[in-house]
Amino acid sequence: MNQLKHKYLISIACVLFITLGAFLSAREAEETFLIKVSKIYTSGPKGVLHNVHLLIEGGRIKKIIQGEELPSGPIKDYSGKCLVPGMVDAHTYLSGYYRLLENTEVITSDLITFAAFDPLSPEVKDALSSGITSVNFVPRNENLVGGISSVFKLSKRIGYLSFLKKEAFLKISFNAEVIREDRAPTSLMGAEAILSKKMSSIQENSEGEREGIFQEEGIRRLLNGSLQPMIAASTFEEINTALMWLNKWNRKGIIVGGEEAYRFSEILKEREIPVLLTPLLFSLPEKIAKNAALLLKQGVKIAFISDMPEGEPLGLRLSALLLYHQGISSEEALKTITILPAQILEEADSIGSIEEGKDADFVVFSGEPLDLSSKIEAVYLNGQLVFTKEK
Amino acid sequence: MIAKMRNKKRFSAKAFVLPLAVFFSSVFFASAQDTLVIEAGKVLKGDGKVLENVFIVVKEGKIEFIGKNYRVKEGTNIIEFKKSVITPGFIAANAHLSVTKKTNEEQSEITPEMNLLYSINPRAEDFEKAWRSGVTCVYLAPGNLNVFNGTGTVLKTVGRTPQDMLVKNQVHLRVTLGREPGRGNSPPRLGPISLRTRRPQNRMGVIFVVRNEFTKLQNKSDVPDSELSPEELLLRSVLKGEMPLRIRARSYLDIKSALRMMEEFSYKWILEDGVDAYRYLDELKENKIPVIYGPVYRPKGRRDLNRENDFYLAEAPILLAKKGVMFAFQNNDESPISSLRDEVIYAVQLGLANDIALRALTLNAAKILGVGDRVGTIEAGKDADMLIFNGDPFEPSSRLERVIIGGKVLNPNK
Repeated sequence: MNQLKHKYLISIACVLFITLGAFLSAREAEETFLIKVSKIYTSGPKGVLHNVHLLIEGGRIKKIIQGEELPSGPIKDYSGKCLVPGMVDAHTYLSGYYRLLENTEVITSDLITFAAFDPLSPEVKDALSSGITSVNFVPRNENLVGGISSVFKLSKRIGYLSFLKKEAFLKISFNAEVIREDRAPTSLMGAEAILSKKMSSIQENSEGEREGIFQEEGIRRLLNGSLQPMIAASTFEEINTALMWLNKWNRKGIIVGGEEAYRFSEILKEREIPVLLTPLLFSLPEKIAKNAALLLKQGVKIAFISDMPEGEPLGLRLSALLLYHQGISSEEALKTITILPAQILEEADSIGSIEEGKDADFVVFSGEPLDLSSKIEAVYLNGQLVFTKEK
Repeated sequence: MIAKMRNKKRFSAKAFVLPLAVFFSSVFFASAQDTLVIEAGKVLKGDGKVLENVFIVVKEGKIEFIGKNYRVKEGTNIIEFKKSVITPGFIAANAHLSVTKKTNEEQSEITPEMNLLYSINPRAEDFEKAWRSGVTCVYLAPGNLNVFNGTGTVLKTVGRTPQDMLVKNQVHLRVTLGREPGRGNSPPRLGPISLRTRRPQNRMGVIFVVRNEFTKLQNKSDVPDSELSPEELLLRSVLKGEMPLRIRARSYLDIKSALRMMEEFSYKWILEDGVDAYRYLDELKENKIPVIYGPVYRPKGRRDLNRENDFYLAEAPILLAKKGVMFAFQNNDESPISSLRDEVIYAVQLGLANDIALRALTLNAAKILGVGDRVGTIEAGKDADMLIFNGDPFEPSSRLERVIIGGKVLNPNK
């Protein structure tokens, strides 16, 4: 009897504790506070600001205050520190590398990726602690049509994801990984032919019977214009095929990988096709960083991706640094990991820069963000502290 | 108000005049500077004619004028080659280059819609090897591991993108006869069912696949074009005689099969890799079937990789020329593209006439590929693709000094 009572008490205490926690966290979101910081790279129209206060209310940036009277409220003091917008990773497999592989068929256009996201994975922690706040979670490159990607804010909570876009892009791959000996496309031209054939057969009997639903729905939505293609293509031939395919179907798309995209800089600029570049490498810094800078100077929209878990989350910052060494200003270099990926993901009205009315996602560095010796002091996501440096 | 309007007018006039002036001045300069004049000692035109001491005027990548009476304007760019021999750029009527990663599409035995154009890398090393050895134009086609391989592409060997280099796309529909398409195919009882559990396994099966496809299409002769798939449309254009079939038939067995099928389906065809072509001279001559032959030299005792029974004969081009069969040269995986000229020199030393050898490398190849209106000879209106030798082009000691592709002068020895 006594034991039973004990159990009851414990369970009641548990329930109370959980509700209290939920209440507190809800209150925290509603909280209004000020952030004092010495320098901000806004990535927006305001450029670089010095000695600023940010008023955060309800998870958004309410006001950027400069030399005015401060409203009353708690102040978090980061004086002497530098603040940049939360980084946006426009192409990542983080936490779901093996769960994202559905290799039974070449075209699996129905799969939606967010089901494979694991908030408890250490990779999520890694990404958050290195300043990545929003991600585009994509299917792998092994399938010709991998599935539909999702754009959301990173979170370590189970069963909760704050989506920016639940069904964002259709991932298509012309990469070398698609071309194999043991299944249908054994060459690049064959991959393109299979895809175009499938598309025209779906276009022809759009009202008729559907065969293989898993293969079709994404392509159907690509054809009616509600999904945009995101095409993995690295080498010259792959990008050329991708551009030809986009031209053939009259679509605007995004090129991912893009190692040799600089050879198409004029066409990419003319047709306004952005390029997501895999992290730059220190091993060949001259070669690759030069080409990235070339694309940026030509006016092509580029953004860096971390390619986690194949790459490191630090890859974003390192890539921006290598770009800086190619004569791009640090402000412009930082844009390639903040506002430019947000624009490419078409989410620039809520994330990607420090502007009034946008989400309060930002990273506080102990010094200049492109100085490798400066460390991340704190990461805020929707106005909440999600990472802080241990003291 | 009026003053304002006048102001506006003056402004717009200025805005109009300035670009116009820039435009005219650019045209004026272009006419003087973009023209290239070559003073040539000896020109082998490619069609058998020889000119001496002439001017060749090149403008915007095309030959504008060739002849003796030309007054050189001041400021034009003149190159003197008074002691050299100028020939048209060489054309490989079938080239084996490693300029793409994978050329074989094996999703099915029948893939006529395949085309290599977009999977070509213009910076591949083999393109450089080609132009450095005087080959300015090549024909590339999908690989031969299935029966209907796809259509070919004729490309220049210099350019930034394959679209720039393109001379003509979808040239011939290629069919491979013989053992090659059956390689790797297996019957269902051996191992698990895979992509290659299918016909054919040998040359009988290949003939079956070809005849099956053509017969299926013949039975559909009532169906209008709009209801056919792109692949079927390609095959129909072959049966109508609009698109020539290019049949890769190494062995005498396969040449005979191709001749037999021609009687059945009456297609127009070209014999590619015709090692044994000299055994069917009468038939080839009678039906006006061009032959693409090469390499001329094969080391003694070396057999084909597929262990085919062919009767290689180094004098084959001479026999073809004697009979009057149109032929052109190719390279294959056993001989690099850079030795194409050496192969022809070998044939010349065996007794092939110089002018026929040159014609096979230039005009005949262009005619077979259907691009005779753009390349193949040095004539006004054609592309400025020329080679400059310091002696006779088929003399082993003479050296290739300059390569001109599309009006661009390149030095192959640098």
